[in-house]
Amino acid sequence: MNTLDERRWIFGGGLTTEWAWVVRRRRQLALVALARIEKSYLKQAPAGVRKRRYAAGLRYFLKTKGPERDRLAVHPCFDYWLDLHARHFSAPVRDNDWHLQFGLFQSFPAALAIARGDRLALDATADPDGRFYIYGTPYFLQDGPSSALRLRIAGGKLEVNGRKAVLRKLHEAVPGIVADDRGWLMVHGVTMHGLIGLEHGERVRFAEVLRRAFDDLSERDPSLHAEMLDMVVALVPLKNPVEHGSVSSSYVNLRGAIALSHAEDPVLQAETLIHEFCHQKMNQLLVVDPVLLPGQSGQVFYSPWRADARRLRGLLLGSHAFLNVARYLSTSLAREEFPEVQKIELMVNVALRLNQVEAGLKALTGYGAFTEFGRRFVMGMWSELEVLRHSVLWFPPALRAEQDAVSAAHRFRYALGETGFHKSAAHVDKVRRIAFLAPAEEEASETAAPKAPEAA
Amino acid sequence: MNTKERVEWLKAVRACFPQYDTVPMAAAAAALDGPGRWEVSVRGGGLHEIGLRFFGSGPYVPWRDACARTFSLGRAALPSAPRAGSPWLTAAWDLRTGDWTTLRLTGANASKLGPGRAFAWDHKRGENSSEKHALDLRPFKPGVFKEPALDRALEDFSALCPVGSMSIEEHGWSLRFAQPMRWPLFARCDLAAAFTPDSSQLALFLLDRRVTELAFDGTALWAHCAG
Repeated sequence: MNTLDERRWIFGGGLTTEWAWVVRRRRQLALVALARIEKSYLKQAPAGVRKRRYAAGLRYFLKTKGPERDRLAVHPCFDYWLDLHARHFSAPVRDNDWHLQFGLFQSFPAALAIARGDRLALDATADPDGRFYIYGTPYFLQDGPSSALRLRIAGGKLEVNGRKAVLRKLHEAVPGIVADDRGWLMVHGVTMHGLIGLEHGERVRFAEVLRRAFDDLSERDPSLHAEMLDMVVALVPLKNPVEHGSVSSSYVNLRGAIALSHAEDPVLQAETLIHEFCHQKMNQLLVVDPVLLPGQSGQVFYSPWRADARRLRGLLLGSHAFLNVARYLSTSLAREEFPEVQKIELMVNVALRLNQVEAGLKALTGYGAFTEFGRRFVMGMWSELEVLRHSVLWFPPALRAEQDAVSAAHRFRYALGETGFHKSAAHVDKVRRIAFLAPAEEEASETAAPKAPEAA
Repeated sequence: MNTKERVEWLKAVRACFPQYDTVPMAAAAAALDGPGRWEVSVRGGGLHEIGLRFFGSGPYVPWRDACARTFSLGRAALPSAPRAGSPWLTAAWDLRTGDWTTLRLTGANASKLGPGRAFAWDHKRGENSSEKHALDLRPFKPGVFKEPALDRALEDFSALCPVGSMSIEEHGWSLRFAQPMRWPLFARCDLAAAFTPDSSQLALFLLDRRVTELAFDGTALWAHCAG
């Protein structure tokens, strides 16, 4: 496959051949990286580490082909495990690090052997919380922190240290997507916002609202829903200490995991899932096309979403995610009845998002240099934005005008004029703005931050 | 940029930095005015240091004498004749002191590339003599530095902003662009990261000027801009 169709990547395109091709490419890269790691393990692992049967797990996973392995090789924890290795094993490490890294890896061959019914004997290490996951299933073992485990697998059954394993089960939001607040490989890389350990009842509720959100998504945007079920395998709960509507994050080295705070509103949770999933999808797409030509992250630009500046890639991801969110909310408004207050909140959200996407695309298009696919992708987003503008024509004019004013005020405060450059007031006011760039009334004060205009 | 554009630009600099004395810099530029063109330069990581570059196109000796007078140098401090082609003078100024810090007189002929085809005479404030450096002028080719990170960065950069020629010396290098790139687009590049912390301030007086050359002087990056 040589040419990507930008239309299927802007919004949910479903599980098409093209989607499968991108996933396959990601998997190939992961397995190539693993093969390289196996070689370096055999050459460099200390003698004490090599005594344990980590190499058997590596070899079994690399040589055993099939759909079960294919799924595991694109698991977010597989992503993170590869990333951990790349970051830490380029320099000498202690024996304990070898045991943790390669002992944790055994989760993947163990899960594969259980799924296939193969016989396999392995040595493994529980994570620092004492858990050992059977990835691809909701099950895990609980043992001592970083304890050494001897595993024997046959006929789909698991023995640990000579006894039948007692497995515990994670809560699933929907089949195949677990709520995981403890798995070390899952949460170690979640660094934005605080993690939260949930009590049983809280975990059930967290998963329950997300199940509702997934159900709604399956009706309102089945193609996007299908992609999500294919890629996302874990939801990590986050703390929401200042009671924001929601906090969330996702990571390029943890593709397939979404971290988000609990909220009782399934529409808000769906919005968050879509937002973070879009980032994940773009991060996965990176393996076949960078969209932006390399070499252009030197400058940070005005971000219509935040007070701080963002790189071009951030504007690309933000525009893409919020375009999807705006379309989902607009579709929801058109299809369903909502209580009056919620309906207004959703309209406000859509109107604001459309303006923000426009501002993001403006800077992106004005300053970015793109690959051939990237050009089509960004032009496609402009086109979809214009189409979405039609869907809000029925919103009250005063509501739209208010959101226009909010966007204008944000730009006035954080952008350098009408350009895409970011301006923090403290920064720019180190030098005085020359007359033709500054409103006349600001001439009197060299240090005061510019004030945002009053909302209309 | 021509004289009028240079004068306007200095006005903009003065408006942005009313706390600094920019009169000596403007006076020095006025004293050198003649046939030829100007470029302005900004230093990465140094908002208070800017440069003026004058490409002379008249006879060399009167121009050299004007340089010596303007910067109070003995004639011996500047070469009697540049080795090749038309010379240009680059003066770096520290706006906080209102004084120049370094001068560089360069003589080169871009049509004759190769080691030893060009020379630069560097003069530091407070020193009576200049230091001569040989420049290696060559067409741009990725991989020339044999430093993977730098070579990759230069290759990525040249895809965004085609580089025509480069010059290499003992402690520095410069890339002359095949097509000058507007400042706001130049600023997005990884190689322009040194300018990022001050990019919004720089944009106030560089506006959309065209960057013609990116140079590393051994301690900092400089972006040279035409009108």
